[in-house]
Amino acid sequence: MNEPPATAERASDTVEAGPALERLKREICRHIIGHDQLVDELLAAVLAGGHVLLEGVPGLGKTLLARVLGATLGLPFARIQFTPDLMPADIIGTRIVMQDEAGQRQFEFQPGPLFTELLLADEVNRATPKTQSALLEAMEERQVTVGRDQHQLSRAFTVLATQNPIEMEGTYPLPEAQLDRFMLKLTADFPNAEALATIVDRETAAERAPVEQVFDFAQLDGLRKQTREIALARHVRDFAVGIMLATHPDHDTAPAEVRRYVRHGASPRGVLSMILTGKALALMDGRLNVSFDDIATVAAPALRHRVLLNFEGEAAGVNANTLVASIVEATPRGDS
Amino acid sequence: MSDTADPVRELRRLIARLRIARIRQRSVALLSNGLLAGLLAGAGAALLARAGWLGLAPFNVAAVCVAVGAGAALLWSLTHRPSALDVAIRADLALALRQQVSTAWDFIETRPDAPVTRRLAARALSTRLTHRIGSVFPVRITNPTRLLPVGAGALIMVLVIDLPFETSRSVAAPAATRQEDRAVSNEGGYLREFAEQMQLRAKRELLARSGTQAAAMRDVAERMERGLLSRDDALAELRDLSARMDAARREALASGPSVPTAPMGATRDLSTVLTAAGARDIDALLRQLARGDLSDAELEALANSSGALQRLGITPEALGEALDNYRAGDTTGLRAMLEDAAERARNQADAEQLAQADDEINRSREQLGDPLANLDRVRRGGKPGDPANLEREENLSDADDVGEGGSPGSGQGEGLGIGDAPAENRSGRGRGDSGLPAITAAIRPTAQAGEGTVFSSPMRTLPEDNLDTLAPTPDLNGIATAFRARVAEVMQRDDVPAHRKAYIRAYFLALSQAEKTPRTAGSGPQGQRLEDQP
Repeated sequence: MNEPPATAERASDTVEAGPALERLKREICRHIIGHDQLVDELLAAVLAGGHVLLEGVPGLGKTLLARVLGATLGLPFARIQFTPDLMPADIIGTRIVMQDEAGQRQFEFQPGPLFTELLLADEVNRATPKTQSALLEAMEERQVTVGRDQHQLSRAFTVLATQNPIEMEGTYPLPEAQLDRFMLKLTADFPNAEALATIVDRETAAERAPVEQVFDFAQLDGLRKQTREIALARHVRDFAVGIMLATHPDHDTAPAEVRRYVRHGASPRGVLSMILTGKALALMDGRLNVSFDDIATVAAPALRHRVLLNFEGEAAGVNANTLVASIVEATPRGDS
Repeated sequence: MSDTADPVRELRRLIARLRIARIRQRSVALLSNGLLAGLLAGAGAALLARAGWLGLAPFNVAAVCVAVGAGAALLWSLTHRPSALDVAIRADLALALRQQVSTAWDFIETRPDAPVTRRLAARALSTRLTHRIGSVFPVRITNPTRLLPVGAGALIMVLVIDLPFETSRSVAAPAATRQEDRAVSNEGGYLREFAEQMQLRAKRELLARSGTQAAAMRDVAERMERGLLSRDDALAELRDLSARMDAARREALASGPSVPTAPMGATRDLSTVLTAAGARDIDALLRQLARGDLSDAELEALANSSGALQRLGITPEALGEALDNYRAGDTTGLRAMLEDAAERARNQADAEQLAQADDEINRSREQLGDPLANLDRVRRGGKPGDPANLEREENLSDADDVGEGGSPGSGQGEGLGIGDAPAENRSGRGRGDSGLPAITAAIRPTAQAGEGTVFSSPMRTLPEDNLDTLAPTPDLNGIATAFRARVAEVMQRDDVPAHRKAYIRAYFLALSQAEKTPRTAGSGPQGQRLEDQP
């Protein structure tokens, strides 16, 4: 395993991270057709160490994306299909009675599928809120509590949840607290005709190309550290903070449409998400610093699920993406 | 490590150069804005100044506006210089450097010793920013700069093109005030002409009080004519001026011996004496007296002009005694007597001139709608040169103070001559000694408005007896002739109220009839009421 060098000596590592990440992206895109931007944003979230909520209609390759990501990063992968009858113990694990060699019986914790490094929570909004809430502690603190025992998860534990935006019946919308724990909410758009043709050719071929592992966990961990070391200037930081504050309807800088249609603005996790994924984008771009454009690029994925519309906004069909885009446009960049 | 090899130092140098370029670019832009604003403001201010609204020279006003605009822009650019971080941010945005320069500069300012700072500086320099400095903050021709010639042209046009005062005022002033301003200006013109004539006479006849008041009157009149005074201001100034005229007139009357003479009588009598003595003026006569070289013929002529000297307050007895003493070699008595007469004549002339000026002022006040003008005129009316008028004026004041149907005060009509009529003041006076009977004056209620308020108006009528003895006077004819063109002009003016036009027309028609009709009892203008105030 190749451990990354110490921070002070990694003068050239950042520069080299760019080609390495480019190679990773290329490998993923070799299997995931027509979702280049989605892959970029997903990689940024992974490098930032955040969880991702992936929204899209069935059949767009969300599960495949998670599987390929896990394979290229060399991360153990687990998949949970969320259903209404899924119980928390089904994903966390449970204590079962075990008999040892001496014939004594005792409770022993049997880990659930949560104990992995890359978890695909498929159709997470089909589970009951009780089960959804079981993910809260795992996502935020990377640990689970069963009874009086706490069980640590892997440092690389990453949740990639999917939900279907179309079906409303039999679903349980994620509570705000859980939504806030997803660093980014990504949308899988329908591929264009050219991408579809490539998908058809590849999926109907006699053999499927194997997924090649690009990184191992140690390298990913090193890249995550490098991500956090990306320089953030004050004016770029203030730009991100300004965007987040402008999502609050009662803030001075909130635009008129936010005041009218928004019930609650983004939490501080929103600005953290913007900056961390912005740093990841800078790293992927081979830069040492976060730019305004990095923040602007991740503003919508980082804030769209954190901006809660009021009834008027929902009734008017207001799109949170549009609101965030207008906020980004109106927020001054630097003193100028 | 050399300076050039140290990326932090190199970046500092680069940012300093960028900052200078940015300050230059910003100063030029601000200066253009300031100059344009100054030029446009200067053009507007010059226009107002030319229209007489500001009371300042248009060029000076424009120059001050331009200087203030440019100076404010320069001052602002000097006091609000951009920070180095701001310059770096702008450079990043201008060259799409993705905040590499500004981030490096931010770290240099906040964490100069961090290892990453050096790397950031090196990365910022790798953007070849050094070779692109000139394109970051170029001195551009902005829209205000392009409009500078337009602003300058507008200012020059305003300063150079001949804009008639009335025209420029009509552009700026609303229609309601335009008429009022024109009336003030016209009255100012009349008063200025009068004041100029008054100054000439004061200088010629050594009338000190008249000279002083004429200067003050001319100042007010010129400001009215130039439109520098509103109607209210003009009336206030005229009231003040009228009061000063009256005070000066009273002072002139009080300083001379209390000998009643007709208007212009003192100067005429003095001229008679001087002519008799063969002297050019009173000073020459006094010099002759001092030298004792008056001939017997001249002394005889002086003795024969005792009538004129008597009207100057020198009794025949005193004159005879003084002449005897003079022949005996004592010139002091005659000299003192003549000096006293000359002083008296000057005071009389001064008072007369001041009264005439006061009448003119009150007429203008009346034209401008001052309700107190009539009252003041009546209060101060009467024979100006007559000290007895002081007492009569007191009586008139008493009557005016009542003003509600009260009986006129006693003594009205005493010593009033034709020359007292304000309408005749324009044609001059001097007929107080023409032998015409005195015109009686009366305060008569002419209108009543509201609850018991009665407006009184002085009316003067000729006495109905002895009309046969009256003969037409050349001066009366002269008035009609001299004012015919003026009357025609007034009749065409819009600012003269219709009822005044009717009055003026009736007055001058009456004069014309008097000119043509042989005077008989009960006919002619003397048989009609000459209403001083409609």
